[in-house]
Amino acid sequence: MITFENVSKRYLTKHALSDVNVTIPEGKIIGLVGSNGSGKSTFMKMIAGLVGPSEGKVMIDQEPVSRRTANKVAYLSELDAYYSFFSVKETIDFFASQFQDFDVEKANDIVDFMEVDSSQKVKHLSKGNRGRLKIALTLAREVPVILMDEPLSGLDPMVRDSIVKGLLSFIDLEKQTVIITTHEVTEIEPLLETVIAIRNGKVLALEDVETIRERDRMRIVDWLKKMYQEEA
Amino acid sequence: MMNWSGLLRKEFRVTRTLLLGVLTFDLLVMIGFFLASERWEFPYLTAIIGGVLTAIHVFFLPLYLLISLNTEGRNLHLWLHNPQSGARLLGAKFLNGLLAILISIGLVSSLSLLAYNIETSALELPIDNVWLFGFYFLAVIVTGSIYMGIWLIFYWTFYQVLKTYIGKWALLLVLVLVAFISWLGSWFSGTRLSEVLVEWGYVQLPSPLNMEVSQQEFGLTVSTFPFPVGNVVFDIITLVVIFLIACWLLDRKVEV
Amino acid sequence: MGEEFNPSKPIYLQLVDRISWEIIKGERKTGEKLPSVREMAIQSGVNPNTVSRTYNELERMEIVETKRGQGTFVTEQKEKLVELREQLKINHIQNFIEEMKQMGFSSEDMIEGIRTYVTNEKENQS
Repeated sequence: MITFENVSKRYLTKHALSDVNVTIPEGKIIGLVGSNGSGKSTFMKMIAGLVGPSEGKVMIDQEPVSRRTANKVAYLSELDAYYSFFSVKETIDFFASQFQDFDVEKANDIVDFMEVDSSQKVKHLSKGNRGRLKIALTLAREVPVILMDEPLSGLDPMVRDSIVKGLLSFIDLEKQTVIITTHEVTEIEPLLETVIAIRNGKVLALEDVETIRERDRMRIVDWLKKMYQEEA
Repeated sequence: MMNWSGLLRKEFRVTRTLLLGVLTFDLLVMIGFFLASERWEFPYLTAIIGGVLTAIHVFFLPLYLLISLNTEGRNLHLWLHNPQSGARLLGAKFLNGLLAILISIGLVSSLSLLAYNIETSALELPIDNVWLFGFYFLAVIVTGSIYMGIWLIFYWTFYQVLKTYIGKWALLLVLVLVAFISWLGSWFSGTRLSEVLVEWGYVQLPSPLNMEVSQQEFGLTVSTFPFPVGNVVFDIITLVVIFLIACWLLDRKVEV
Repeated sequence: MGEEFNPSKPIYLQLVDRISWEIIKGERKTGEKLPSVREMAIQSGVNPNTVSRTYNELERMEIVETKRGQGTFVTEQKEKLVELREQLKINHIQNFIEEMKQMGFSSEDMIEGIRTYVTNEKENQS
């Protein structure tokens, strides 16, 4: 279970997060939604232990998060995530050597499933295939927490579709919690069970998506707009 | 151990092209000057150039590490999202750098030695002297390079910490820190404390320079020079401490 | 990507409707095995937990049965399916009447309207 206790993150000129208190439920696919610069990426990096809080505590299973929490968390950055001199296969082997929980067979399955040629050098892959490789590297890990920062951004519909299908095929919600940030909320809305709305570094709400549909009769995007208006 | 060897192999790949480039450069320079020395009839030219090239290697490790670290700096999340300790992440780079400098310096030294044996001259230096001198020379260059390399790791990591908070001003601040620490170092070396800490454990080492070079009786009067082991111990402790600080910063303070 | 869902109704209920509909239309036969939760999730692009909830709901309605270790099957009890069909009929009529009332038609208008519509359709066919 992931908990944020009074977490703030300050940089020289701006507050990335202010006084965040949230407990993230386990075994769900959770969407982290908010406008650009609302603190989504910082939130994700904090769970991965790649950014530390200025105040408060971020914990996974009651243990404070640090960089080495990487053994419990698979973090997919919105940026590129591989060494360009490696081939796809070498990249998979390298990840397998670094993470004990990495399932090489699964990684190869995912890469095959998404039709990426594993003998190719990573730097020669198309943008879509690099996106797919990132997903394969993340989903091949048998970790309790999977973080995906903008896994669909900048990819064409075919690639997005194969990524969503890959996600559904290879996660195990009995053992894993997935947190996704995305601009294409509507596209993955049926995938999400819970959403966390974030604005200006503050968590506005954590809500079940089915509840939003039933009670507010809204899409997540509209619900988010409503939350933003209420806050403003 | 799979993760450690995986890390080492990755580090090797990060700088493989760089190493091949350096080795090619070494070869071209040495061969070029070897051919030139034949033509110009300049005795020992190749060996002298080899010596210069070796001397330049004092900058090898810091530059190598800078390039390797900056490769990671462009994609910090990729490097740091890893359950291995900072000591391993940095250690793998250091060991690869050490291997690279030894390969490159080994190549240059062997070629120098080879050229020295091929090229003839009226002046024959006693071969034992050459070996001893070469050994000291290499030791000074390699340890000097290690010394600077570890300081570079420290400053680079410190820069990464600062960058998160003050952006482009970080470099300036690090340069100020470098100047301050250099000043601190030279001030310290003049103090009594430094004498106590550094200047102890003198041993006599054979000197390659004080030997009398004469045709009749070379190698018979090997003189020695005093060398403080304390200095080495002090430097090793300093390097270990700053390396550990760098590891701690990497584990706790560097953010992506 | 998965099909479109109505944003104002829980997806698990929309899936319940869709599967019920497929059973009534005969697209899913009695005793037929439904896709596993994961397969269904992939096919429809829906969260696996939502699919589980759908299956639970269908099971509660006694339209499907879960056999331990084998999967989920459409029930072989015909009367349950007849009941379901009746239920869907009533639901549709309810919706129809609700909307007609909102447009201001009386019950007589509706019955009259249906009778005329059906007669016209028969004449057109012959």
